[in-house]
Parts: sequence; C-alpha cells; structure tokens
Amino acid sequence: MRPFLMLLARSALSGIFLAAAVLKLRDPDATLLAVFQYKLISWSASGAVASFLPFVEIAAAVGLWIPRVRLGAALLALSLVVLFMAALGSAVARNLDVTCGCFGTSDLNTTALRRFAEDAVLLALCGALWFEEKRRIRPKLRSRRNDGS
Amino acid sequence: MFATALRQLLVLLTAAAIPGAATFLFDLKWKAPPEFASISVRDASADAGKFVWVDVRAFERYEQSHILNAVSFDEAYPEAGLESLLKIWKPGRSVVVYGEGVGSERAERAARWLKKALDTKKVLLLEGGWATWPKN
Repeated sequence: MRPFLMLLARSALSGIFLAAAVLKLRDPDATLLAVFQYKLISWSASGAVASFLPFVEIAAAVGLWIPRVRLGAALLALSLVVLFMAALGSAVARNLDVTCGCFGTSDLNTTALRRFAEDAVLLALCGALWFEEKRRIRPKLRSRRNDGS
Repeated sequence: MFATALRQLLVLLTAAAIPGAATFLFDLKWKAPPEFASISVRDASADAGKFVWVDVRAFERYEQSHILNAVSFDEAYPEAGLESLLKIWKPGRSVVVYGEGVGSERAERAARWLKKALDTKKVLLLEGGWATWPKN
C-alpha cells in the first residue's frame, strides 16, 4: 500500500510542477509580472527569477523520477513550496492585491487563501516524499559508510 | 544524509540553470504560436487590392479616414459588419483586420469572430494597425 501511495504522491507532485512550469514558459511576460507584483525583488531580478523558475520546477518534477537524485528533488520541491508560501504570506501581510502567478495566467482568479490551502497540500506531499526518500536511502548510506571504514 | 540531499539538489539546480540562463540572456520566448498571422504594412500596402480590409476602430474614426475599400466593423453589431463584408469577400480571399495601433485587442476579437463566421483561416492582422499605415 505504501509504495502505491508514494507513487501517487510522486505522480501528483511532478505533474503539478510540470504543468506550472509549462504554463509559465508559455507566457513569460505574465510570469515576469507575477513575480514582480510581489514587490520582493527588482524588475531585472524578477526577470531572472521568471526565466529560471520554470526550469527549476521541471528539474524537480523530472528529478523525482530519477533514483540517484530523488532525495535532492524532494528537497528542491519542498524548498520551492516553502518559498511560494513565504512569498504569498508576505504579500498578504503587506496587503498586496496579488494573483499567485503559480500557473501562469490560468490562476488569476484564485484567492490567496485557496492558494495557501493548495500549497499546504503540496507541502504535505513533499514532506511525505522527503521522509520516504530518507528512509529508502539511509541503509545505502550506512552500508557505504561501513564499507569505507 | 542532508549533505547527500544538498549535493543532489545542486546537480538539479545546475541542470536547470543552463536553459534558465539561456532564456534570461537571450530573452527566449517559449510562447505558443500566435493565433493569427500578421502582415506588415509594407507587404500589405504593396498589394492592398488583393485583400479585404476590415476596420474595427470606432465608426467616427473610420469616417474620418480609412484604408481604401475597408469595411467598418463594430463588434457590438457584428452581423452588420459581416453583411457589408460579404458583399466584397469571396472564399479564398484574405481578410486583413486592423485597429488603432499595435496589439489592438479589438482587432484580435474581431478577427476571431470573422474567422468563425466566414469559416476561413485566411484572416490576418495588420502589424501596427492604422497608426502605421501610410497616409498619403
């Protein structure tokens, strides 16, 4: 049952990251505006973030399926979700009227609260995958350490 | 354990950095192809008689001046515009829609409507719209 649930979590998470990346790449100008509207970084820095972010999401989505980097991909996905939540939280705290921009222009009507709830689900999935990968990799690391000593 | 995760994370970030840097440095666009083909003023004006022109600007602006033989098209009453258009349009003939200037959303909406109504793919947008059309 557990492997099946993990497979489901991995599929969901990687699908979501991939969809978010594709939608951002399809409309780079909207992505740039979405990043800038958080008023956390300058316009040119927003350009850099808008250029890199979709590929980082793709790397996380693909990495979740590659055993050699799966732990890193889980950490990357976890960091991204935490980052998104922090940015969204700071915008809400500063009373900024922002659209998430997480899925390009397709989520313009999503409220911050709903996005928070969705991010919380993503965070739970990332956490589950992180702990699962840790559990999977621990015996390997231990045997490698024993071989070395 | 955490060091392994960080090492893997670094590998993934490096892999992402290559296309990310290319996109940023060369301003690459990953957009879907545009919905409508557009025609430059130079190409269009050289062969203006070949096209059926549709002017989507406000009627007062159309009355002041417009491209020769252009049909006025008001999106609030599209059927009226279509009626005038059908008097001069024949299947196979390209329709060029223009608005006031660059990236006219009204022109795009009209082009979308006409494409459906005329059941043709030969609907183009005039690059730069009326603002860039040579006026004598």
